[in-house]
Parts: sequence; C-alpha cells; structure tokens
Amino acid sequence: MLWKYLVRRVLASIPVVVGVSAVTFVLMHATGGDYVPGISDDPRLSAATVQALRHEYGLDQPWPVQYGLWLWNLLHGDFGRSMIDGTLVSSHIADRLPNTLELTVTAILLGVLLSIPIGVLSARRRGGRIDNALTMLSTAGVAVPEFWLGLMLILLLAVIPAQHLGAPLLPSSGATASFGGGDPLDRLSHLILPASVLAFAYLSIWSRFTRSAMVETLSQDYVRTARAKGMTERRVVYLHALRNSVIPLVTLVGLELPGLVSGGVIVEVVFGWPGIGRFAYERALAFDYTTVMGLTTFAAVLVVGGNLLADLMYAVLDPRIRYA
Amino acid sequence: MATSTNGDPGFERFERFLDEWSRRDFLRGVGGALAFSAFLAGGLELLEACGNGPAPQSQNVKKGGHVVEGSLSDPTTFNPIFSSDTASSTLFGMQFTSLLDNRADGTLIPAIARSVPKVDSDQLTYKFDLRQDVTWSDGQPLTADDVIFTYALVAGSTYDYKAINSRYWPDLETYLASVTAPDKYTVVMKTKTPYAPFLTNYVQVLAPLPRHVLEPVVRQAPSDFRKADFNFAPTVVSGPFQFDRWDKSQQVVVRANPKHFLGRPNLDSYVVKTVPDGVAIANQLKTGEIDVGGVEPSLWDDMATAGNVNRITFGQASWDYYAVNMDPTNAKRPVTGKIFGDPETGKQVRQAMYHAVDRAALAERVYFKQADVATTVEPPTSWALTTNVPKYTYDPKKAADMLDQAGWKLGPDGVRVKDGVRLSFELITNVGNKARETTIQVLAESWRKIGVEAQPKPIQFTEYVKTSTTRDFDMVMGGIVSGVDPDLTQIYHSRVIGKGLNRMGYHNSQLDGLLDKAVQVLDQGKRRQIYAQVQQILMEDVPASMLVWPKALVAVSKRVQNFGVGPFNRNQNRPWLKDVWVTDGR
Repeated sequence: MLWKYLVRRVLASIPVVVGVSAVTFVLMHATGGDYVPGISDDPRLSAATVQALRHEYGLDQPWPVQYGLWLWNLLHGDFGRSMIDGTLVSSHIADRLPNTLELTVTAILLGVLLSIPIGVLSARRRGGRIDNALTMLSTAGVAVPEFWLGLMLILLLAVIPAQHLGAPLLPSSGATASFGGGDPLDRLSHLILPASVLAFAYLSIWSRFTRSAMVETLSQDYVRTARAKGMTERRVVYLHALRNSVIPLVTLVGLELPGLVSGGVIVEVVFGWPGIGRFAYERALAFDYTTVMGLTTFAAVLVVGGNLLADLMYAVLDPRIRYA
Repeated sequence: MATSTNGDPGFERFERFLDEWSRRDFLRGVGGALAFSAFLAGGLELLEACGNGPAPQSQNVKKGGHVVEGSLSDPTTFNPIFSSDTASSTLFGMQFTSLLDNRADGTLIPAIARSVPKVDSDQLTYKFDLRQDVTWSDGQPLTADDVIFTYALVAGSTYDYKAINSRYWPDLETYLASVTAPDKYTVVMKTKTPYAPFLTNYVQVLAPLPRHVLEPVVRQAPSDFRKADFNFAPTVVSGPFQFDRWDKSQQVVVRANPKHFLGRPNLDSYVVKTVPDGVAIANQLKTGEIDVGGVEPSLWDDMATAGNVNRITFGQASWDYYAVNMDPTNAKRPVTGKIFGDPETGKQVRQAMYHAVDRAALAERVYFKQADVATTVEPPTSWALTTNVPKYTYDPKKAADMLDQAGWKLGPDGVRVKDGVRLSFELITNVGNKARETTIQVLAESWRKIGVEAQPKPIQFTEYVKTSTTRDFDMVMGGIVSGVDPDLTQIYHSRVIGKGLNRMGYHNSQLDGLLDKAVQVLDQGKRRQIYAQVQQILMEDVPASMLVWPKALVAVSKRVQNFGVGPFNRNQNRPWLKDVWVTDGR
C-alpha cells in the first residue's frame, strides 16, 4: 500500500532531520564560536550587558541543554528566533524564499530551454564549426567562476556604461530599484544579470549531456529505420530522437532541485539578490546559530521531501517500479 | 586563510566577502565615530571650526527626491534601547530624535531639549527643559511622560527592565538614580554618583519612545518587547523621517515626516540599501544606484576616477593595535605572561618591540595611506588627546639594545633566549580582514629582525572575540571603535580583566584610581588633565600598542547637497539630515 510506504518514509526521515540539526549544532559550537551581540570590541559595552544578553539567549547553559531546548521548540513547530534581531526564523525564511525561488526557477528554465536546442544543434553538426564554437562556450561556462563572470558583467553592462553614457544598461544589484514600486519590468531588469549567470553555469553542463545523448540516439537503429521510412529529418530528430535524449537531462535537472533553495549563494552575494542563500551565509559567519539551525533544518526537510517526491515520481513514470 | 597565495580566484572572492563581513563588525558600535583628518595634524580649533559640516544653503534648495545610502548589513531593529549596530543606529536616528544631538566633533547640542543642561551643584542632577512644539507623527504631543516611560524600560521600578533587557540596563542600573517630571515639559535626571559620560553615552542615545503606543505592548509581556512589531516597523515617530517599508536583505525606505518639529525635511524619502561588499559599494556609487557609501581603503584612489561622486575623508574614533598577555598568573599562557609581564624586564620587552615596528610604512602599504600613525592610546578624535607622551619612533637598533639589556640574548637559531625560554609566541587576529592579516605578517617580519619570533595565526572572528573572556592567547592584533567620551575603563581597568577588553591582564592600581576619578569629575578641563596622566602611564607601560588610526572614507554623489557628515554625526546623529537635498529633485 502506498500510504503505508509513505508513513514509513516520513517516519524514517525524522532521524535524518534531527541528525542534520545535531551535526549543525555541534559544528557551530566546535568552531569555538559564540555569539556576543553588537560589537564585542565596543569599550562601552559593559561586561554585565554581555552577561545579560548571553543569559537571554541561553548561551550560558551547557550545550546539551541548549540543544534540547531548541529541539523541544522545534517539536512545537517553532524554528526559533534569530539571536541577532529576535525575528522568527520562519518569517526570515518566508521573506527571502520567494526571491530565491524566482532567481533559481528562472535560471533553471533558461538553462533547460537553451541547453536543449544547443545540444541538438551541436549533435547534428558534430565536428563542425558551430559544434566547436558551442563546445568552447560550454567549456568556458564550466571553467569560469560565477562570481568572476558576474563582476565582469556588472563592469561591462553597469559600471562602464554609467560612467560613459550616464546610466547603466542593466542594474547591478538588488531585486528592485529603490523606487521600483512593484513595477514588473523593473524587477525583470534586475533579474536578467543574476539569472543569466546562474543559467550559464547550468547550461554549460546540461547542453553537453544533451549533445552526447543526442549523438548516441541518432546512431540508433530506430533512427535509421525512421529515416529509411522517408521521414523528414526534422521529424526524426525532434519527434523520435529528442524524447529519448532528454532523459539524462531530466535526471540532472532533478538533481538540482535542492539547489532551488540554496543554489545561488554566490550569485546572490555578487548581485546583492535578497535571497535565502546569501542570508544563510551571512548569518553563519555572524554565528547567529538559532537562525543557522533553523535554515539547515528547513533545508534538510526540503531535501528529504524532495527525495521522497522523486521516488514517488519514478513509480508514476516507470510502471515497473512499485512501492509496498 | 593565509593560504590565499594559492591564487585560487574563488578563494579570493570568498575572502573578499569575509573581509567585508568583519569590516562590518569593525564598524559596529553605537557611535561609529569619526573625526576630521585636519584634527590629526593637531588642530583642535580647526576641528571645531569645520566641525558642523557645510552650512545649509537656503537659495536654490530643491524639495523632493530621495537619497540612497549603501550599508554593508541589514539593520536588526529600529528601537534605540536595543540597537547595537551601525545600520540600526542610522535608521533609528532618522526616525527618533533624542533630547540632545551631536555636532561633528562630538559636542552636545540641543534637540528636543531646549538646551544642553549643566549639572547642578550636587554634581548629580540634570534638568531638561523640553520644547513644547514637538509632536509624534500621529499628532500627539511628545512630553516628559514619554521620556520617563523610555527610561523606565531600561531601569527603575516601573517595569521588569531585566526582562525587557535593553543593552543599557546594567549601566543605567549602576549610574541612574531617578528620572522625574516636575511638569509636562520638564525632566529631571539624577545619577547615583557623579558620572561624566552620562549625557553623551546615555541621554544622547536613548531617544524617547511613544508611551501612548508602546505602554500596552510592554505591559502585556515585558520579555517579548524586544520582538514587538513596533521595533521593526515603527508606526509613530518623532524624527525627520518615518518608516515606509523594509524589503528584507535589500533596503529600508523611510519617508519625510511632515509633522517633524523642525519642519519637513527637503527630501521625500531616504533609502538605506544593503550592499553585500565593498566592491559592490564602489560599483554602485559609480552606476548611481547608491548616492552615499563608505569606501574601502584599497578602492579609495579608484573612486577618484568616478566623475559623479565627491570623496570625504576624516579621522574616526578608532584604532588598530596589538595587545599582549602580560599576566604571569594567567594559567593558560604562563610563558608569555612571564615574558611580557615580568616585573623587572617585561616593560622593556614591550617597549623594545614597539620600537621595532615601522608604523609609517604600515599605514602607507597595508592601509593604502588611508591611516595615520597612532601616537597615543586615545583615538584621534578625542578632546583629551595629548602629545606629551613617550614616543616610539621606528628604531630597530634601539629595540635590539633594549632586549640585550633586559637579558634576552640572541640564541644560536637567531631567536633570543633568557633562562632557557625562547622569545617566541603566537600572534593572532581574525580571519577575513585583509588589513589585519597582512599586519600580523608585517609585525612578525619586523620582530624577526631583532630576534623575536612571532607566529602569525589568523583565527575565526567569534573565537577571536573570546580572547577577551578566556584570555587564552599570547598576542592579539585587532581594532577598536570608541565613542566621544575619552573614558578607557573598559580597556585598561583591572576590574575588567576577563570581562571587558582588558585581556592583557594589565593591573596598575595608580591607573585604576585615575580612571575611576576621571569619570567622577565633571569639569572637562580637569578631566583632560587626568586623561593626560592616563595616556602618559599607558604609553610608558604599553600593555597595548597602538599601531595606526584608520581614516573614515565616504563617497557622496554630486547630486546630493548638504550631506554634512563628520566624525560624530555620521550614524545615529544627523542633525543635518533634514537639510539634505538633491539637485535633480529625483
């Protein structure tokens, strides 16, 4: 029965999530870190203030007690509050998750939509000039770090035009102009650079896979048969060969699903995109450990849930697979 | 991160980010205080003369438009009693006006109070005469009631202030005796003992909060007050701007408060935009996406090539320095405690090592000329600064001789030895701050030349912070941001060993006495004399050695006028803000 399987999987994932949180907790503490609010080097912050704040955050408790309390709250559906600002971690997530999804979903869509035609084109012109050019492009895409590409694009499309033409061609940072007022075009103009950089990284890998899968498929017997039947090349490639060639791509894209949430950390930082990856990174460095715990646990739940979903999808797609 | 020489660009990018992060920490602190570089040349008069920023030009002032300021971190709260970082201070300062404000040089000036009160003859009582034309943005008058309410949140018997837990309660519990209101527009504050920094450190910061809005919130649950919605989206304000919206991780927008008692500001709105790092700040100043931003020393020369910004530089109340473990009883590091803290020769060793550092070269090469050689333990902005202190010119020969005299003789491996102990120790700083990481390498190299072995070791910032309490270190290099008041108790008083920043374990009862006395004397002239003695003792003993005074570097778009930023009116205190206008009116 499917639902029995489901229940079993969900129960089995609880130790995983708890384990992730425990490891995170231990790692955070093993760095020797400790969150002391405000500037610890501020000579006017008296020792008593620091003590009081440490007490408020429970930092004066032994580790197991701190972790136990955190777990207890989690059981009550409470991800905790940030040590830095006292805001609910869940509301921090809710504020930033849509921005991240907007960026990563756009990048993945762009990547898929572009890597298929590129891969097909390369495969059909194998060894030709176009294939070579596209190969070089995708090699560059794998080799060039995202941050470098991002900074170069900022320089070329924003800084230099601004200095010479008086205005940047594309905005370099943020998700809206300071006075965007929810204008979708403004939002889009901010999305172009970060989404392109992220998409370029995906595209470089995916187009290679599509290409090699396509090359292999095109040499299959059934393709020859289709051609022999007098089918147009167009129909052969796009109707018969393509469907079989994109299967590895589906797997690869599926692998990126956890990256929907965390995938764009570097890009988010370079372009000041108000997403969850950049936020998690900043808070980890600031030792806002309640926030980091909340974020990693949230990510763990997503990954576990994503895997479960993928397994169920296999059963739907492949009739030979049954869960009991 | 000393491995950055592997040339991995990914790593360097990562480091630049880390660098920004620790810079942010460095910039934290209520004041984020600054001073004019002119002052560094020694002219107090000059500082006072130019200390108020440009005078408002009443002709051609255009109304409307907005200014976008870049900030390296998101704010965390807009409530003055909880704020402890620069972004938050800047934003609460725009929304809540205090009884007193600061001039560029840190001199107090009236704001909601009609004048800066003189302390009564009892040396304890301050009487504030409030303006009667101040209203909250909802039209309610701002009265003594609001002031009393605000102080009751921090100390006193009205509320459970420990549950509210403002960062100021332990201090006010110690210093504040009472806050009372003889009438609707008069507030009387009494300290428990005479305490000189009282007005500057507390009254100036603790802007009144609206009692009619917040009292029910506090009554409901004092311990939840830190989390109250009001702190993140104030509904009622007294400052020139009021909260409009906060796009998390992106920007905070405040708009003109038409009911502000000094008149509606020229600008329609002001935006504080969160920018991930120093490179992005420089880029966005050039693209015009931001109008104002602090610039990294390494990018300062490059900013000169941008045609659209003016560069402003001035000294600030901060210093970079190194401190030694000089406590022979420190069980965690007894060897260095003995080397640097030996009653006979410890001082000679500390002085000799200070002489061996070429600080002018450090300022020029590591700080890109955007720092000055520090000459005393007070920051360059301090009114108590004196030049009459022992000097430590770069003189490696003298340094070597002093070590010889102290009995530290060169050993066969080139490192000095005394009684079988090698003059060798660990030198730590926090990872990610490039200037600091380079500085510890430079220090180690300087000392190697005189037979002293320092092993540079960058460590995590959070771990670095713990050296204050654990004192598990030999030598630490770092930076401190100070404020207007010259008080140095939190750094050198023996009372704060293992609690405040006296991680050196420095114990000098004469100095303790002077520091205690200096905050109880209210006459500035007399205080200046005491701090002159304090500086002489500390520059003689050198428990901590001042390296350089880094300058503040601010770039402002040419379209922004009257941006009167200076040493002590840069963040929370911006009495000039309402006069700022933009030439294009946008």
